[in-house]
Amino acid sequence: MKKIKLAIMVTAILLSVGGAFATKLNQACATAPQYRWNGAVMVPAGTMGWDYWCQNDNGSTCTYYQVAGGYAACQLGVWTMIQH
Amino acid sequence: MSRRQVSLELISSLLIMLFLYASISKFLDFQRFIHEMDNQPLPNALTPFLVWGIPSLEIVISAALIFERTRIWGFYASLILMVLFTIYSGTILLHFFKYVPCSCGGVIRKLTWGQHLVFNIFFVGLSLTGIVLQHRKQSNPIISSSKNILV
Repeated sequence: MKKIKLAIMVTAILLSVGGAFATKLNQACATAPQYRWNGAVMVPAGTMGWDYWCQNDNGSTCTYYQVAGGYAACQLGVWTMIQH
Repeated sequence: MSRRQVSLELISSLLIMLFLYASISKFLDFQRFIHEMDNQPLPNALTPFLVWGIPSLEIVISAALIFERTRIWGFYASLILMVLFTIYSGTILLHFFKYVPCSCGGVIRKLTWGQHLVFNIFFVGLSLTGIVLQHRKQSNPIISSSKNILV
C-alpha cells in the first residue's frame, strides 16, 4: 500500500514540476521593455499598474516586446491608460 | 487499499499538482508574475507580499498534503485558499472592480474568468471531499485498517 501511495505522490510531483517547466513562458517577454500598438506605430507601453492596465479581452494583445526583426506579443488583454 | 484511501490519495495528488504547478510556474516566471499582480485591481503596495506569499503558501500546502500527519491541515488550507480565489473570481465577474484584469498563472492564464470560477469551485469541492474523507478515516481508524487488511 505504501508503494502505491508513494507512486501516486511521486507521479503528481513529477507531473506538476515537469508541467511548470514545459509551459514556462519566454523570460524575455516579462523582462523586456513593453510596447503597445497605437494604431499606427509601436510606442513604449509605460509601467504596468502605474501607467496602464491590461484589461481582460481574450484574443487581444495588450503589450509587445522587441524580437529580432520586429515585435512579438507579450501580455494579453486591452491596453488601458490609468488616469491619475 | 480501501476505496476511501484511494480517493484520498487521488484528491491529495490532484491538489498537490494544482498548487505545485501554480507555485513553480510563478517562481519560474517571477518578473511576469509581478507584472500580473500589478495588473490586478488590488493596491500595488500589496504586490511584494502577494508575489512571495501566494506561491510560498501553495508550496507549504502541497507539502502538508503529501504527509499523512499534516494532510488534514493541508485540506483545510487548500479549502480556504480556493474559497478566497473563488470569491475573487466571482467579484471580478460581477464587475466589483473598475476593470477586468488578465487571468494569470501558467496554462491557467489561458482560462477566462468564467472558466476560472468553475475551475476554482471544482477544487473547493475536492478540498471539502478531502476533509470529509480524512475526518471519517481518523474517526474510524480500526475499520479503515481492517478494510485494508481484507482488501
